[in-house]
Amino acid sequence: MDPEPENEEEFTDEALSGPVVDRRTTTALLSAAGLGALAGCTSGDSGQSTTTSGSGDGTAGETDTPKPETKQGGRLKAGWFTGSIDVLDPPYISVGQYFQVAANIFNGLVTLKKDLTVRGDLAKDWEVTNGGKTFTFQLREGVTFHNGTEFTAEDVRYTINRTISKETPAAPKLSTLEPVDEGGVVVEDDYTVTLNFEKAMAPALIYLTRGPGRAATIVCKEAIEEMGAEAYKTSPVGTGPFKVANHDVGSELKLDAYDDYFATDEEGTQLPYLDGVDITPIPEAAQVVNALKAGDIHFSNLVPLQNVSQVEKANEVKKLQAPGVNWLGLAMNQKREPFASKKARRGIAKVIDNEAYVDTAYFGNALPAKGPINKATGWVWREDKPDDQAYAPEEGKQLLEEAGADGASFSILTTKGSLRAAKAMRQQFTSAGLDVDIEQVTSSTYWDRYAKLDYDVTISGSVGDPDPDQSLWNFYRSDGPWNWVAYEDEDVNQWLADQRRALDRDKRADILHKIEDRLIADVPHVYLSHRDDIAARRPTVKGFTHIPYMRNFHTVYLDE
Amino acid sequence: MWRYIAKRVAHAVFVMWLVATTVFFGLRFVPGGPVRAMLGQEATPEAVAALRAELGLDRPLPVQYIDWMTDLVVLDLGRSITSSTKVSALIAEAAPKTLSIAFIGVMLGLAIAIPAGVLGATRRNELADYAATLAAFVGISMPAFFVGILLAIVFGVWLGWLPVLGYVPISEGVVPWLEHLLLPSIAVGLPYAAGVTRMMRSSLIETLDEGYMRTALAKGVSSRTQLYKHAMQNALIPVVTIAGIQLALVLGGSVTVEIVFGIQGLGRLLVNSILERNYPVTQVTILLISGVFVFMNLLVDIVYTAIDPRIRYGGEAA
Repeated sequence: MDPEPENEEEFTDEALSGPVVDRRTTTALLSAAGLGALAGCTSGDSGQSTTTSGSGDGTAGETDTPKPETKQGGRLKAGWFTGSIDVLDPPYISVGQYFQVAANIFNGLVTLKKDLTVRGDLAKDWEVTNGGKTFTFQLREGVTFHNGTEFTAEDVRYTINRTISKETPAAPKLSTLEPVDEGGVVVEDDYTVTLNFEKAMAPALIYLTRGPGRAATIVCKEAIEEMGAEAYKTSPVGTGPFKVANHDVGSELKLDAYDDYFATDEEGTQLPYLDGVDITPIPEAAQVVNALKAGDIHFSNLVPLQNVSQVEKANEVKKLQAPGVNWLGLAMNQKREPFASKKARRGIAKVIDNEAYVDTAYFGNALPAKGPINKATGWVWREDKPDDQAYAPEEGKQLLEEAGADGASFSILTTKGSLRAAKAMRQQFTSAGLDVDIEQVTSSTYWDRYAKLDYDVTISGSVGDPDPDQSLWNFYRSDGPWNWVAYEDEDVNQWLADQRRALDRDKRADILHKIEDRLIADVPHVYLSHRDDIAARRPTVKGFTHIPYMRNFHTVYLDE
Repeated sequence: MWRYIAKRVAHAVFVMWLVATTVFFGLRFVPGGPVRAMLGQEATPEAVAALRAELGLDRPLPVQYIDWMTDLVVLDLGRSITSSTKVSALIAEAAPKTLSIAFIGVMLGLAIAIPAGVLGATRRNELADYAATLAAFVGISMPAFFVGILLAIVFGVWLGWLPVLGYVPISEGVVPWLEHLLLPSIAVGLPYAAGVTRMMRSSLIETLDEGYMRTALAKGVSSRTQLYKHAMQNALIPVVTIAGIQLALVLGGSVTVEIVFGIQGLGRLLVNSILERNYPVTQVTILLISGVFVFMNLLVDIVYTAIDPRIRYGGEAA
């Protein structure tokens, strides 16, 4: 029951007709994808966005601006808070920490800026035509892969075809693309490529970014064929600022600067500044901070939330903090009692004190959530959201009683990683007179049971939403792949489809607000928190731009 | 004797087969599979099914079992499910690290335990004895990973003397190799030393109380000669046994210590692979570790036949 409404009023607008969309429409279209700053870039007379001026990399104004002579050389020692980095082949990555690494090895057609708008990456320009269904990209010339092969439009076709035909985890991001061989990807010439979608796709560019997008992060056909898909999975070849020198999985990943990387800084100095990055996986939370303090690492990609206060106290370590592009909620399985009842769900929401929960569960390093749309996506964020889920314990108990769910007993399914949050949640329930226990399982069991709706409630959500479409589309459509609460609402199905076709950013935001309001009222999840994105560095690490959720090192240098 | 050895070898092979079979089926009866954990939330049911098929996990268990067994016989250990790396390569990476930690840990442990045990036995009920006993109890009570975290904070963070992270192969220099291994080795070595100290002390006390010790003293042997020439030799026999058995403690401690110090040895490899349900890696690692124990036992049994005729003939007579 995929909602495919035929009503296309938003872009049967005559401004969209004709082979090339005009500037005003491009601006509107890009805005619709939450790409405000990019729309600003399109003020040239071509109606296209040029992002390469001067910097070659578009990072102007985002980084510290150090004196050129201090920026060269050095190897950055970075800790990664994980057991091992198993997958670096972009479309196969399903762990945020892995694509934080991969985004240093690869490029997408576009990439995220600090405000979560999009700038060109391997594409220097693009235009959107055909009512938002057609995206034509002008590619950079003279870009090479780490093995010396030249990058052309054919690589874009190969990459997208591979993502889809191999049924990789990233394939669903391109589910609305026309079949690749039937016009989905058209190679116009070596440096021009066109993507055709079945339906207008306002958030398409987000899915073409390197990092969170990764459906079209450009891979190297020659390298895959030469080394085999298995070796490519952990030691891939891309076009990015760093190349894989050696990867002992679980032990160490050595990245060397790619000397022929295409980007330079404003002064024309070749990027990256560093000679290389040595990444060590560190699975033990306390050791992340110890290693930083001892100087064994210069940078940590994450700070475990329980260790944030240690980082704040230490002179030799600086905290990097950005609003989280995520949301967490209490998922309630509507196939089980009492969660089929909206009244019961709302009652549960009202007995949870979000502020107290966030303090206990995340040591205060999170924003209490009122809905699924996060603050990092500023264009669609509202401080003021409906209060259907707001803390009101007496009213909550009343609702539970009316639903016959007072004193209900159920269990919270959790992994070790979310155990603290689960305990904080149980505290809240216990004081509301609910009989709740915690069932802790390993993560493989967890996903198995969650996906099969074999649970009562669990704390879950989306880890990376540079655009709200990413999670709303998958969580709340009746047949959405992550709809593991059994939520069904025809209006929401319709509105989710509408927002993808809404080319005007304000109109799109309006629809997204309508969806969010309905979700808050229907309580498929009790919205709990937006966790902050926290990393840490030694003071000698300079030039790092903290794009929420990303860890890009091409402008980093060591000042030792 | 050859018949006996042949019997023992056959027995060892049977034990290994039993271990392999138990691990294979045991792992698969644990809830949860590797695919969903690998693909995470974003995977569609189709992608999950496709990956299961690609990994051969959709085939009936007996078929998977026979496949694995036949691969094992020709020493094809398979590939890691998560990273597609060859299991043999993962093991070859990890084993030297664990062995290095265990070796230095045992050496340090013995270097501490034997003098401390002797001190405790010869200065019985004096201050030094109480101190050694107390230290040993603390050592026995503190798990290796906890010792490891303490060491990292004191010597890494506060004093800044030693690195707290990672491993450098010995080929890149003995000094950096040792620097990186010292703290983890102490962490596994201390609990080990504590056990051995206790055994050294009680065994030496027992030996010193023997009648022949008094005789030696009466014959005019100096107390130094009495201690080191006569008593130590006998007292060390149970200590050697305990030192051997306690090796298991070192390997067990190494599992958690490797996680603390960010060293991808066999222990960390095993723990990760179990959590990820990375069947091929878990199976081979457990098989390797139990293989080491089975082999050591076999070796000891065979050596016994050489030194103890009762075993040589008794086995056949019985």
